[in-house]
Amino acid sequence: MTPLLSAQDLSVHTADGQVLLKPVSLQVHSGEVVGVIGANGAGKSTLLKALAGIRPVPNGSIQLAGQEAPTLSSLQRAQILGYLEQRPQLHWPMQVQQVVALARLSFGDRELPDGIAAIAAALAATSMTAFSQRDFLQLSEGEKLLVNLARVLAGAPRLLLADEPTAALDPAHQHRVMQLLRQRAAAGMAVLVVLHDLTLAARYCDRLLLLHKGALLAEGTPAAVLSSANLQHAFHIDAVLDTASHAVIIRTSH
Amino acid sequence: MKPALLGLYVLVAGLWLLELASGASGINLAAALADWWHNTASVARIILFEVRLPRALLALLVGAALASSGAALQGLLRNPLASPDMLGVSQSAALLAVCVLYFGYSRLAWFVLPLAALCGAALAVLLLLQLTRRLASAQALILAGIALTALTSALTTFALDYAPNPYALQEVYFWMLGSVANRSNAEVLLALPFFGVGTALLLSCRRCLDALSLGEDTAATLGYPLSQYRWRLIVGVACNVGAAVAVSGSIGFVGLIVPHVLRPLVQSQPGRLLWWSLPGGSVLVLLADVLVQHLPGTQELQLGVLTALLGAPFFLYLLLKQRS
Amino acid sequence: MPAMNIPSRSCLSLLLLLTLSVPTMAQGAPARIVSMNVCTDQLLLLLVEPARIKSLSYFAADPAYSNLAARAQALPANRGQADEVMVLQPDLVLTSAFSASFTASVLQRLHQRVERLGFASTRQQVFAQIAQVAAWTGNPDQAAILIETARARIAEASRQLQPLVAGKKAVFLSSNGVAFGTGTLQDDFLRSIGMRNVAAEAGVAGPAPLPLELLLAAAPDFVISEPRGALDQQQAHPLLQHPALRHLHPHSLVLPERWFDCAGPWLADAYASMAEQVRVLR
Repeated sequence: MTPLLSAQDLSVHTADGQVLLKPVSLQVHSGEVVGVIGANGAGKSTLLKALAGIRPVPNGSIQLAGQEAPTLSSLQRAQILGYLEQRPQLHWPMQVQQVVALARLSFGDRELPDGIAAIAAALAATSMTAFSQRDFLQLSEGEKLLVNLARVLAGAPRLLLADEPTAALDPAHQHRVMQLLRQRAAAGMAVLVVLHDLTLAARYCDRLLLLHKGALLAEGTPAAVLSSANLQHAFHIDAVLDTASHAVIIRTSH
Repeated sequence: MKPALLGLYVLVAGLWLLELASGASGINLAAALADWWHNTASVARIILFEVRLPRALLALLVGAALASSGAALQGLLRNPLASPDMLGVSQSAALLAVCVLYFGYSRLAWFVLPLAALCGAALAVLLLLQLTRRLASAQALILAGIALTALTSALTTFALDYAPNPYALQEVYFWMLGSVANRSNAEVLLALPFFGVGTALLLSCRRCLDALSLGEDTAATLGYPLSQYRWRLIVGVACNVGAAVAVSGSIGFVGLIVPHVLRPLVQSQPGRLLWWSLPGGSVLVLLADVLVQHLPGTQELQLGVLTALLGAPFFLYLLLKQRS
Repeated sequence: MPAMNIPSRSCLSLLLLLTLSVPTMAQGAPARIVSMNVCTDQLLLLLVEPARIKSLSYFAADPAYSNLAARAQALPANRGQADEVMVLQPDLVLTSAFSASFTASVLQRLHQRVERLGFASTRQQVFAQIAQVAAWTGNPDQAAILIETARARIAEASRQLQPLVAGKKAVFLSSNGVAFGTGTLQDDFLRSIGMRNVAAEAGVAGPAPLPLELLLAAAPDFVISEPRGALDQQQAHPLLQHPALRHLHPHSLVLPERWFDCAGPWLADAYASMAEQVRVLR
């Protein structure tokens, strides 16, 4: 089966030659949740941005839904891919409903039945329907994130790229978001999610990509990737993965 | 069409007619129209078609151009305090217009003057865009705008002082405050193509401006990367502001007040705001110009004085509201 | 009348002044005269020999403003600053009542003789000013001759003009939409040859903007303005260059403003030139 997303030798340099990401190759298939983990500065966000088509432009090649990324127009790309950024901003005071509606810009149906239905469904999926008329800027960080997740889902993407969606959430919401992603994957979406919480990664991801200092250190099932050796090397922690509870138990850290 | 928007257009039409009916000589509009209909020559007809009509048309067009440029700049820079006159865009246009006009180059071709003003405006917007990149804070942008405004205004006065034309310096008030008085249909025709192109370019960016509400990166992933729309926005603003300044000087506060007042009516959607700013700007400038003609006094005030009287207190109120 | 406001550097001027001796009043005619205003400049050039003129304002040599620019070329120019005037140790300083007032008051406080000339808005006042400056500088005879010659020329030109233009409407237009209404020399000029001043009738007082509509509604027969230079642009003459004026077909006459801005016998040139231009139109 053709992967929904596939990249070869993807690397990112800044204008003055600094290497943010060393050549990485990866694939994400529809139906799977792939997690990207690593310490701060490992290049996780850079990888996601490169795949989402945000500057800086990466070297290497990317294929989305079987087509070379450069052959796709911005609008076509927007309809295949959904990107949830790490710290979503909103510059104007808008209601939740309108923020979510922005996902339908490329479809041009914000006021039309299809768009309205997609927006309503997305709000329902994230349990934010009660918040539709609320002022976005007045919400808590967790609520804002859920609204943005709804926004991404309203675009009905086939591939979802999420950058640390659980960072500002309380444990209950963290699990709810991950379960939602799993449900979407089960319905056919391909999900690539950056996570900082190793337990969540172990529990909800089919595969993991471990980045270390801009390079791909390990790739595979959580059990394989979260070995004590890798945890030591990448995170400088002396820890072990408990496969039953998916918890990463830290013995000491230095 | 939303009733409020329709109401705006009705207001534009009403004020436009009021503007046609306003003037120092008390001519009878009906008589003037009758003369035109029967093709008889009369002073009333001349005054209506050669003096009042261009004035009313310019007030309408300049208002729409400045307000939509303000809305576009606010959307582009994601800053509610952005506007052509606050950021020095109008004043830069005025500077190049003055240089071209008073040193004789505008005689080379009809489009040299508006083109020079357009270039002045474009350079200012480019500079501001660069600054937005480097300085993340909104305050820094406004400070840069203040500096650019002060610099270009000073340079304009300087240029007028050194112009070969001995009357040039007396015209500083026109360039700094703006006016649509004593204009002819020639000025309307001069500016019209630029307004047309500018407005079309800006309107084509409505969705991009909406997407930008979420920030540049997210806007790109929604299908509207700023890199594809940036030039349209710059040239659009430059055409509108350049043409407006070339024919009527630098009229202040229109680009700031109109988007602000209308923003709640469009639920802060930058794209819709652009559409609404067109009639909104016309309303403000037509109103100000009608007031200018009816205010008691021996001499008619510059239009910019009235927009400042309306706008400056409003601006202060905005700043106070931002603090709290 | 162009504004001739020349700012003075107060502190530096005062310091410098205090180091110089105060000049004594000359007996008889003043021998060291300084003028700080283009109107008094011109009267001085007219009445007084160059040896007694120590400095003129920098406008005196500018042909746009001065009728005697050629004569002023050789003389030193000042910018109306108190220090540059005091250095010359004048026994008479001439200026207008409306410009360089700070400099004038500083000089007066230092016991310098300063005479200030007002604004002439009628022919009588013009002749009176010529006589006044002559009295200050000690040249009353020259003045008398100049005044008589001018009077005669004006009378002759008026005789020629009256039958041609009496009852007709005219307006003097300057830059920036300014016209010359009541209380101006231009108004006196028009009335003296039996013409109607459209600006005065429209309610314009002094030199002030005339609304374009009122100009059109008044439909003047003659529009009188400055000779236009090569670089004059739309902005400077919004009334003159407005297409609407075409429809009225007024006769266009040219009379330099410097004939009216300052009192002097050149007023007669205005009458003569007007007569000549009107005759040619017939």
